[in-house]
Amino acid sequence: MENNELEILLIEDNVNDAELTTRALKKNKIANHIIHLHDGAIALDFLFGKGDYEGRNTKNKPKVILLDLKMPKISGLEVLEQLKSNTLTKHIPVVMLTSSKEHPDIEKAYELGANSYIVKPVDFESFRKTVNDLGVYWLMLNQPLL
Amino acid sequence: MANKNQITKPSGDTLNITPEHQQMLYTAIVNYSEDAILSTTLDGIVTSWNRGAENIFGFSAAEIIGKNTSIIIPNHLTKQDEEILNKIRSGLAVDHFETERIRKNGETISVSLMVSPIKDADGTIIGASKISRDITKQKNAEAEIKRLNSELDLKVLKRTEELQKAKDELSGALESTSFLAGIAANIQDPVITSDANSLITRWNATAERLLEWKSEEVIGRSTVDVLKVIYNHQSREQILISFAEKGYWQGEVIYHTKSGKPLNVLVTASTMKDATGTTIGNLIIARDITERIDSEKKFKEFEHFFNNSNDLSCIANNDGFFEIINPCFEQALGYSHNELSNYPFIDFVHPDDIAATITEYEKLKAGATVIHFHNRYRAKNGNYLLLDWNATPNPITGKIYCIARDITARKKAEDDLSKLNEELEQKVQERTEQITKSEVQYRHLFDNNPMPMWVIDLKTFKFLDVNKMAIIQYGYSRLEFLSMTAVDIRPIEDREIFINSDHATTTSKDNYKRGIWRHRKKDGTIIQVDINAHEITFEGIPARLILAMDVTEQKEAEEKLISSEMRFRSLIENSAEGIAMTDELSNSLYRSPAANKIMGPITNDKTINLTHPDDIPKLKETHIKVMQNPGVTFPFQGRFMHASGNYIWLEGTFTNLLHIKGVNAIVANYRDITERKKAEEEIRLLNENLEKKVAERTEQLESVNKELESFSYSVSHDLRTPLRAINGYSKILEEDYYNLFDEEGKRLLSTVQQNAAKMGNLIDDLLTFSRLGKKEIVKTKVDMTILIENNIAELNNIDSEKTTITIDKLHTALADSALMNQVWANLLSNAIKYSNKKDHPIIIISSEKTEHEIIYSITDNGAGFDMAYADKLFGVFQRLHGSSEFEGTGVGLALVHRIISKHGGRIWAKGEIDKGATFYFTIPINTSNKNYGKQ
Repeated sequence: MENNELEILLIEDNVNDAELTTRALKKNKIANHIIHLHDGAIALDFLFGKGDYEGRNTKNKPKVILLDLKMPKISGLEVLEQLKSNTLTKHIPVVMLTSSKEHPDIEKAYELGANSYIVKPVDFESFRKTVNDLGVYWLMLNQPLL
Repeated sequence: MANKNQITKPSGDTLNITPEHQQMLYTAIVNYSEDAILSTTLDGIVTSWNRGAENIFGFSAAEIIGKNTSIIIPNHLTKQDEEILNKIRSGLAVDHFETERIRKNGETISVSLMVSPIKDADGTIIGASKISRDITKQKNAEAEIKRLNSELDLKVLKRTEELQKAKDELSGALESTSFLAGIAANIQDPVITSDANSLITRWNATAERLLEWKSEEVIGRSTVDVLKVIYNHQSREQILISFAEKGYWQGEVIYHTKSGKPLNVLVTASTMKDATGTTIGNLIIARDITERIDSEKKFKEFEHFFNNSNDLSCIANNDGFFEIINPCFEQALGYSHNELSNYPFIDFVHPDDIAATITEYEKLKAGATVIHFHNRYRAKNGNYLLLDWNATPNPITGKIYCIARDITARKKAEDDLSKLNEELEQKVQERTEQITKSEVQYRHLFDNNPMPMWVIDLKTFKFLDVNKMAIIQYGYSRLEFLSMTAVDIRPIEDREIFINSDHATTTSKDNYKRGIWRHRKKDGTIIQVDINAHEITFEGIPARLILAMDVTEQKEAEEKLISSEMRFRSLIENSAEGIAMTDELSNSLYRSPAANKIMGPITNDKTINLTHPDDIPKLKETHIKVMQNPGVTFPFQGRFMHASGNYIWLEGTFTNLLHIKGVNAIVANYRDITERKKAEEEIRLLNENLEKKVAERTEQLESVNKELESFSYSVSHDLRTPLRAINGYSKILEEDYYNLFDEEGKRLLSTVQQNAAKMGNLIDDLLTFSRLGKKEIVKTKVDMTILIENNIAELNNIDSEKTTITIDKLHTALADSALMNQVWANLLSNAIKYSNKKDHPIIIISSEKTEHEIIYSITDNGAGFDMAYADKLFGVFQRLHGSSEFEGTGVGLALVHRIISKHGGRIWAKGEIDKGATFYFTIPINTSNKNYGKQ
C-alpha cells in the first residue's frame, strides 16, 4: 500500500457507510487506493505520522480526505481544524460527509476551511452517484496545489 | 320692581322720584322751617316733630314723638286744645290764633298756632298738623307798651286830679284869708291874745283843738314856750323889729302842739291898743295851713316830674298854641320853647295827619274827657316822629293837657311784626297748598298704582274703595267690589282663617302688616298675593289700606325651586357617591352623608392635610388644573386619611364651580375604591405570578421544543444511517446476488427496498417539517406563477399527456420564496396525485385579491374527500386515504399549513368524494399586520 499513491482517505466511524462508500468509489473505478480510518484520532496519527503510524511518510498525502462530521472521540470538526492549521495538511482538500444538509456543523466546517460537503443519501443509488461525482471532481478535475 | 315706584303726575310726566325721595324732600322742607311743624294723631300723640319744634319747645323729636302734646300745653288751656282737636276731627282747620305753650324748661311762651287736619290718600283724617310760631317776644313788647301806656295814662289822670284839687284848695285858702277880718271866723282859726309881755291872755276853742292845750293850761304862760315857734324865713328878732315898726306881721311859721307835732300855720299878729293908744297886748290869729303846705310840696314834685318826664307833656290853650311845654318835648322835637309856642301846634302835624288830629281835637270840644290818638309830628330836623297822644281838657279853663310818647320805634316794631305775621301767613298758605297738592298726588298714586289697592272696613271687611288695577286684575267692576267684602275674594277654604286672623287695630308704630294670602279672581283663578296692609281711618271709619301684589308665579317658582332643591338635595344626600364642597383654599364647606360615611367622622380639615404624602404632588397638580379651568371636570385617584387614621383609596372628580352663583365651591365627587384597589393589587400580583409562571412554562416548553427538535433531528439522522445501510446492502444483494434469489426471494428483497425508501421519505419530510419550526421567514416579492411552473417541470409523477393544468394570472405575494415553493410543491403534488387516476386530470390554479389578503386556490377533479374530515386534513401524519390507494407520508399538508400560518395566512379546503377538491390559502397584503391571519 505504501507504494501505491494514496488517492482517498476516508475517515468514517460507521463501518457500513465506509464499506458502501468504498464500494461505490471502487465499483465506478474512480479510485483504487482508498484508506479507511475509523476515528479522528487515528486519522490524525496517520496524517502526522504519530502513534501507530510513527514513522510513516507523511509526504504521502491523500488527494482528498472524506471526513465524517460526526464521530466519537475526536469529531470531524476537530480533525478538520487540526488539518487546516497545519502546513503539512492544510492544502489537502477535505470533503465533509454528513447525514443531513441541515447539520449546524456544516457552516462551521466551511469556516474552518472545508472544501465541500456531501449529504450521505439514504437511497443507495443517489449515494453511489454522489460519491461518484465527488470522486470524479476531486481526483480527476481538481488540480492539487503543489 | 323699580318701575312700579315711579310716580305718574297728573300731567302725565313720569318723574323718577320715588315716594321715599319725595318724602325726603318734604322732610327737608319741614326741617328747614323755623316754625315748629309737628303732627299728631287725633288723640294728640305726637307723630312728627321738626327742628323748629325742637328749638321752640326745647324737646327733641326723640323725646316727644309718641307722647301726648299735653306736655307743652298749660293746664288751663287743655280744654282749648281738646276743642281744637274736635274741630280737626270734623275736618275743620284752625286758623292761626295766639295761645300759650310750655317749654321743656317750664317757661311759658306765646305762640301763634295754626292747626290743620292730616288726611290720608283716601281723604280720611288721620291726624293734625300744627304749625306754631313763637311770638313771646312780640307779645312781651306789646304788653310792655300797653303797660307803660296805661301807667302813663294813670299817672296823667292822677296828676290831673291832684292838680285840680290843689288848685281848688289853693283858691279855698285864698278865700278863707278874706274871712280873717271877721271875728266871727274865730272859731275856724286859733286865736291867741297876749299881754305886752307876751304872756297868753286868751286861748280860744280852735286853739284848744288844734294845739291840744286847754286854755287854762296856757293862760299866763309865754307864747314862745307854749307854741315853740319855728320860723321859716326870718329870725324872731327880725320879726319882732318888723312887728314893732308896723304893729302888724304876717308870716308862716311852725307851731308845735302839746304832743309836739308840728303845725304849719299862717300867723297874723297885730298889736292891741287901748283907747289911750297904749299897747296892751298882741292878737295872734294862727291859721292852720298844713294842707296848703302839702299841696305845695306835691305841686313841686309834679313840676319836677313834668320837667323830667320822658314823655312829651304840654298844655295847650284854647287858641291852639302851646302854653307850657316840658323839656322832653323840646328835646324830642329839637325846638326851643319859643319856637314851639310861637306857632299853632297844628302846624307841626304831618299834613296827612292834620285832618285826623283836628277831628280828635274837636271831640274834646264836644265834651270828651280823654282822647287818644296818633299823629306824626315834625321835628326840627325835618323827620316826623310818630306820637301817641293822650289829651284831657280842663273843664274849667278849656285848656288841654297833653302827654305824648314817641312810638316811632314801637310802630316800626309793630310794622315789622305785622310783616312777619304776613310772611308767616304766606308760609302757612304755601304749606297748605303743598299739603293739598300732595293729597292730590297721593290720591293719584292710589288710583293709578300699578298694583291693586283697596280700602276695607276693618269691622265688616266691606270694600270702601278700590283702584283701577284691582278692577283690572280681579275682574270685578267697581260697583261689584263695593258690594263685596274682603272675605268674598278668597277661596272658600281660606275664608275662616282670614276671618279669624288678627284684625285688631294695631297700635304698632307703623300700623303695618304684611303677609301672603290666596285670592280668588272673578273668573275663579286662585292667585297668591303679597299683602301690605296699613291701618288707616277712612272717612272716619277704622279701615285698612291694602296693597296686593300678585306673586303667584314667584311663589310657584319658589315652590318649584324648593321642590327642585329638595330633589337635588335628596339626590346628593342619598347618592352612594361622596359629595364634598370646598372653597378655593380647600376649606371644607359641605360633606354629603355618603362622604361622611366614606371618610368617617373627620374634622373639617383641608383636603391636602388628609392626602397620603405620596399622592400630594399629583393632587396638587390636579388642583392647579382645576383652579385654572372653571367648569371642567378633572378625575383624581389617591389615598386619603379616614377618620380612623387609616388611608383609604378614593376615586372621583373635581369640578371648579367657584364661578357658579349659589354654588361657589369646588365640588368633589368620589367613591371608596379601597376594596377595588385591593382586588386590583391582588390581580396584579396574580398576573405577575402568572406571567412568571408563563415565562417559566414557556421556558420549559422552549426547552422541551428544543429537546424535541434536537430529538427529531438526531432521530432522523440516526435513522438515516441504518436506513442507508439497509438500502445500500439490499442494493448490493440485488446487484451482486440477484440471480441467487428465486422469485419469492426477489419479491421479499424488493419489499425490503420499498419500505426502506418509504422510511427515507418519511424521515426527510419529518426533517423538513421540524426545520420549519426553527426557520425565520424572509419575505420578498414572490412571483407565484414561476414557482408553480418550476415545480410542474420538476414533478415526476405527472402524466403530461392527459393532465390539463390551467394557471390564471396570479397575484404576486410578499412571502418567503423558498417556503412558497415548498407550498406549491406539496399542493401541486397532491393535486396531481389525487387526480392522476382520472382519465382527464384537470388542475386549475387561480388567485383573488381582497382588501387585506390574496386568496390562492388550487382545484383538481380528483378523488376529493369527505368534508366531515376536513379538519383532519392539515394534521401531521393525518391521512384520509390509505397508502395503498395514494402514496403519502401525511406530513405534506401539515407542512403547508405550518408555512401559511407562519406567513399570517389561512388555509382550508373544500371537497367531495370523487368530485375533486379545492385547497385555498391566503397571504396577507399588509405586511405590517403580521397577526391578521390569526384573527
